[in-house]
Amino acid sequence: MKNIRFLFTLAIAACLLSSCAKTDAEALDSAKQSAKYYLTGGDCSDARDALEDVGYQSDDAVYLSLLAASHACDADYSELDLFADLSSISSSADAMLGSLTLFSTSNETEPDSAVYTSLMEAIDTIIESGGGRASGRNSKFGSVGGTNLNFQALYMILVELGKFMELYADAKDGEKGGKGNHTCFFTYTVADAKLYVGTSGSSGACVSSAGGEGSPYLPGPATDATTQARLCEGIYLFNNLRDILANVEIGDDSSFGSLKDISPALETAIETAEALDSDGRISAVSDVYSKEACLDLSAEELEVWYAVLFETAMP
Amino acid sequence: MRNGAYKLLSSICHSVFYCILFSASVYAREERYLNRSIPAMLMGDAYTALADDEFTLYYNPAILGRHRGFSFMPINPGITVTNPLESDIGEFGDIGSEPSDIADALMNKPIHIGLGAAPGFKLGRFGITAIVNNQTSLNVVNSVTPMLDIDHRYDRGFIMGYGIPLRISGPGQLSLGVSTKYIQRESIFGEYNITSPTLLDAFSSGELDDVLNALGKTKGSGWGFDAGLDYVKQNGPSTFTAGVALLDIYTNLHTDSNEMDREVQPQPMKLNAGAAWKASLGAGFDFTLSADIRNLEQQMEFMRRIRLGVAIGFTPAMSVMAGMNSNQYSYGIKLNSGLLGLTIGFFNVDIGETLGQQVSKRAAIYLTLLDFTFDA
Repeated sequence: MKNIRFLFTLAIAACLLSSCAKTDAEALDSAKQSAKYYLTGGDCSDARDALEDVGYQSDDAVYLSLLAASHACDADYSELDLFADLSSISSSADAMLGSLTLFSTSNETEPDSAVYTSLMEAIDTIIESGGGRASGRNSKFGSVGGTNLNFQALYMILVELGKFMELYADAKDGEKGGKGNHTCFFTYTVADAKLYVGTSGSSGACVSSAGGEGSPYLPGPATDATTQARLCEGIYLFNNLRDILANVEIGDDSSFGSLKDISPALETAIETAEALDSDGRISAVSDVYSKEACLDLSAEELEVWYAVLFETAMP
Repeated sequence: MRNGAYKLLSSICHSVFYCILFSASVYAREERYLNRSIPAMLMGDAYTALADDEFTLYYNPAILGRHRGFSFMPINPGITVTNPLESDIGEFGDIGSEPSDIADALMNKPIHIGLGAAPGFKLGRFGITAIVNNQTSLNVVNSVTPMLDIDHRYDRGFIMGYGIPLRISGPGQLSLGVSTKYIQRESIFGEYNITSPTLLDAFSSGELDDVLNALGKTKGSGWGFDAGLDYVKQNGPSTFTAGVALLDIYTNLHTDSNEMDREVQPQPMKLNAGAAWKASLGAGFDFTLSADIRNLEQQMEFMRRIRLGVAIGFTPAMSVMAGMNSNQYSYGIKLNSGLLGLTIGFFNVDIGETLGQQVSKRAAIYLTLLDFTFDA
């Protein structure tokens, strides 16, 4: 009996002396595992709570990926839906922006909707990591972690930009202005912007700057600050799309469709726009990758970007 | 005697109480043992006090202190797979070829395949067992940004140990056991975004070995050590056993250099305790009850520690077993015809982060050939 007691006493002592609380690394690992489980079942807030319980982890690529996914989950977003739609992307500058609205997940009928805002929050979570640039994420998180984050952001940007085009460019069946409500993003007021739209010859829907041709969700009901924020969202999404595409290797897997051909088309469109705008405003805006930096731009720079790039070079 | 029994009961109650008290947090997923006995898994893996077979050195080296004569266990392959009776195998056959189709079909359906064996011999209180164990578990999770969780390892090596009786006379035998092991391990461990080129490129890289390398297969090797205590007391037809095993007290695997700078999967320390009671009622009929309390070295939910098992031998040729492992049930049957033994059964493994969160349902087949023992 003494021997048995000795064994159990040993077990108790070992339990008390060596039962270790979770280390920070174990707690983080546990939080990530829980978040993955909750995201599997669509329990978005539970996933976010699990991650937030261990504090924000700016150095952990998987943590950031899951945190972004918890926001995207609120938008009912799934990469599996997008992957099935990837083949509909056009790699032609003339049709690329409109083709994003062909995604089954890109429908949007109101500005700043809960779905749009949640997906933007997910994109922000990744874009703001690693210094705000795709190359920075590759450097900070290594080739696997950086690639995963960049692709996750890329997919969400494609969907969000599709929503943006559907709402503010009035796109239908992949054609900007196709719904017939308005022809341009914006009712332009800056002289150079009106000039490019009216006389420089857009081949798309927006060919007149006579007035009233812009989206009803930009100036008018919206304040100037709201209008600028919405215009900046388009620039933010577009420039980060360019940044990511220039810093990832897409490979030859057929699942990616013509994704790898988009980057050259976008850069060619930028060059075309820069050639049209001799004052360097396109070049300045093309280097803006954060919303904060975009909000510092002038109304003139924003209008010229939209008129020259989004209406003319990428009609 | 009554006073002793009271003190024993008191010790057990204190043990349970303290384990519950200090189990506020959870650290889980599938527990990573070097190898598991399939007959043990079918009785809830409550085996720390019962492993007087070819798996002794995987559970408690002190059980070697009970051994007499020479035992030879040359061929004993075991296979564990995702339970085909409870998985939608038909769906897998029409799974599609696109990553999105595959992810959709496999989401939250854990896949497992394991192949292992423990050939070895025991000579007196010395034992040596080969390590041959290949375990792969796959699980697609996260329906927003689908990820493939991969836990793959292939271990080769050996364990050898010795059981030292501390006291043979008196009411029972208490033994101390120690063992050392050498492990060569290949492992892949981590999560892979299914829609990222990292995984897609890996799967399109051709041969299986190329795929494994592209996923970051790492190799490592090293020595490890175990220790344990075992108590056995026989009283007529009944035998009581109890044990404490400290596995992988110091098992340090050194990672070979690799391009991705990944670490080979470590082998964590485990502190387990168990007790069992067996009644042999004659004519080949016996009855065994066993219980383990696991992972005393770390905090976790109490029920996650618990293993309970029962085995009933109807004749020397046939026995049935059942058990509960972290609230997950198991059952099986063992047929024995002397030099050939066959065990088949089903068991569930808790693989979630919290108790019962996610379960992997598995089937197992275990074969023993040409086992024999010469008693001294």
